[in-house]
Amino acid sequence: MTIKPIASLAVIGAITLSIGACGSSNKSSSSSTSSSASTSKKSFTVTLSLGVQGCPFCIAVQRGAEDAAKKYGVQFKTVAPPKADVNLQIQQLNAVIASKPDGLLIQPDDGQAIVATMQQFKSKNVPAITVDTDANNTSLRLGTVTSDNLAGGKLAADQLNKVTGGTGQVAYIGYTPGASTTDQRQKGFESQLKKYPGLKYVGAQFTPDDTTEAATKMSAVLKRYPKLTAIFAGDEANAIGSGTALRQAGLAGKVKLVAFDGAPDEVQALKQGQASMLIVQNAYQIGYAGMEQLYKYLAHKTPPAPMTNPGYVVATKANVDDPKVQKFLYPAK
Amino acid sequence: MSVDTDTPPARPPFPARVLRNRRLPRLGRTENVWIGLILVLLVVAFTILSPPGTFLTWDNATSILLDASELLILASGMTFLLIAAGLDLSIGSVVVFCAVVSAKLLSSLAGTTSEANVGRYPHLALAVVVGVVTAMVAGTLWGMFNGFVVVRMKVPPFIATLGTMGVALGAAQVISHGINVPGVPIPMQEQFGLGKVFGAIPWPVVVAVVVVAIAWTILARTRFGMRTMAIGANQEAARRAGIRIGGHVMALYAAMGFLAGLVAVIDVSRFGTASIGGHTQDVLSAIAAVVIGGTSLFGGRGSISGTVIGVFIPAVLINGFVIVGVEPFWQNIAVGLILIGAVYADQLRRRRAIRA
Repeated sequence: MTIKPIASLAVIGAITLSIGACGSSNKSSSSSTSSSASTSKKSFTVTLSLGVQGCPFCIAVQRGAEDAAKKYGVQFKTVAPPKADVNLQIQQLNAVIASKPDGLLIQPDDGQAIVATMQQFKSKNVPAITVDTDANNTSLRLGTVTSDNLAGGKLAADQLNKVTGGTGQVAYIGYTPGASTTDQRQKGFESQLKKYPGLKYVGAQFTPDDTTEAATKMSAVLKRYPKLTAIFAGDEANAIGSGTALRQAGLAGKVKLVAFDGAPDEVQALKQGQASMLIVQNAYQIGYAGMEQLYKYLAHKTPPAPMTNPGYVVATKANVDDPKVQKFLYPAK
Repeated sequence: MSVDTDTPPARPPFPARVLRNRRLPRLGRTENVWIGLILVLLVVAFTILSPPGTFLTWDNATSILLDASELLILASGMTFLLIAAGLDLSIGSVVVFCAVVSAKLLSSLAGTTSEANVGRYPHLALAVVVGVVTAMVAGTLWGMFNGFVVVRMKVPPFIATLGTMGVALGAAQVISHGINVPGVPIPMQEQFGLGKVFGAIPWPVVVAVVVVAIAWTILARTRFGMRTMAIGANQEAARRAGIRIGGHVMALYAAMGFLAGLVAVIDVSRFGTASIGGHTQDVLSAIAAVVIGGTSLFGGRGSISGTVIGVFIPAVLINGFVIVGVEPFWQNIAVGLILIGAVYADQLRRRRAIRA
């Protein structure tokens, strides 16, 4: 029966080829539209290295960068590791450097660990701009575009103070320590809280991007501190999990939930009343500005600003439908 | 082989003898008494260590049950697989895939966006039926795919389901463009995910209890359960006894997939969204629960009652540590050490029982 294994191998080969064709046909269609825009001068190739796949903030950054790339006729490619692991990101970057892009936009998973790889890019004269998280060695990149997560955490503490009227117990729930963006948010939050003596900080809980675990831990926190007045959720999964925990305990709206990021399901939670406030970064602008600055450097040698901060918007149920706020929200596709 | 209809069905040929105590109700096996006592011990310890009125309350118990409901369902299916010396690493990804598909159908079928914004869902019943059925069918199909790769293509279950884990998650990301799928109709969250039967027991807990009861019945009281044990204990002997291994193992994987689809429905109802990044720890938690409960990783031995205890020990630990106020980093250390200790103590007793 030697025909069966050969047949199944042939089937698998056909499937792989067709998937490869499907995957690459999307890319080739997008790059063909951008290259047709610049027929006279050389079109630059830029690669965006995102920190992780499947994160709405990162996708918003990507959209902004893609739109800027289309405007300037830049051939644009995005790579992202399946997990927020700097080792996986470095693996991908090693493949990227072999394809010799003209420029690099990068959202490092770890500002220190990425230094060696960015040194390689610099030695090959590939200019780089960091987005969202900066590299620890600032000479390795032209500039950075970031919302400054430290400031974001402080903003969260200010908002918590406002929304609780200055007194009460507050808790933090966030992503497991190790990702510099969320670590900075926590740090900014905790340091700013010290300025509000009326707010008693009951501690931090961590979950690895899992809504069920977030709901479990937040349910337990609510049992331990029945007088809890507010929660700061440092990212999307923790926001959704905490929202559900609040509804299960019948405390939605009574305990104020301030969440970071403006992903579609967080906006839904805001509208339904589980979340009181979303602190949304201008992710689209981060990507757009990063790509625009990189293009201007490649084409005209204009040095970008050392740091650009597109800022935050605070979304509440009252203003979430305002077009000015809608611009900040992360895309649903 | 004649079957004696007066006495209960004979237990499959274990490598070791099992203590049978007819005076105790058959709901739990006696060898699980020890691990059950450990669970009780933990509950008592946390009650003493936590501020009064926080840990040992009906409210908190409901919370623990609710948060453990998804894992109970997954671990029930995993129990059968592990007893049959199989394995399914893909359950987390299958849950995510089914959740994405289900959420997309629910949000698009229930009503248009403008209608949803004001809370009107003209086609809610249709959307719910289609969404729920699709999730469970998709889960079953993934399970059957796993079964096909393991049984017909003879790929070891570890590799087969590792592959499916990647394929299912990738497919989910392709469909959802990598972001969580919002837009699940609010009534589904309010009446099912967060709703309670008789105002006291959350619906997901009811579903989990029904699944566990069915799983227990099948494993302890039916030929199917007995054959599962036989396949795990000695596959060759089972084959020669006339058990159709291929079909049986395929059914186990398909059932696991079905249960993953069911968990996806519960997940979408509880959180109102399909979470792409979640459920990555589910497979480890499910296998841990099954093993804590006394099922051997090599197959041939196990029980649903043990699995239930195995689900609740980590759940009680996580809940208890947060309530008592142990710092998060120390929580990880403490949970790990207590698990090792609990299962070691349990293993000592089981080995002594085998030697007796």
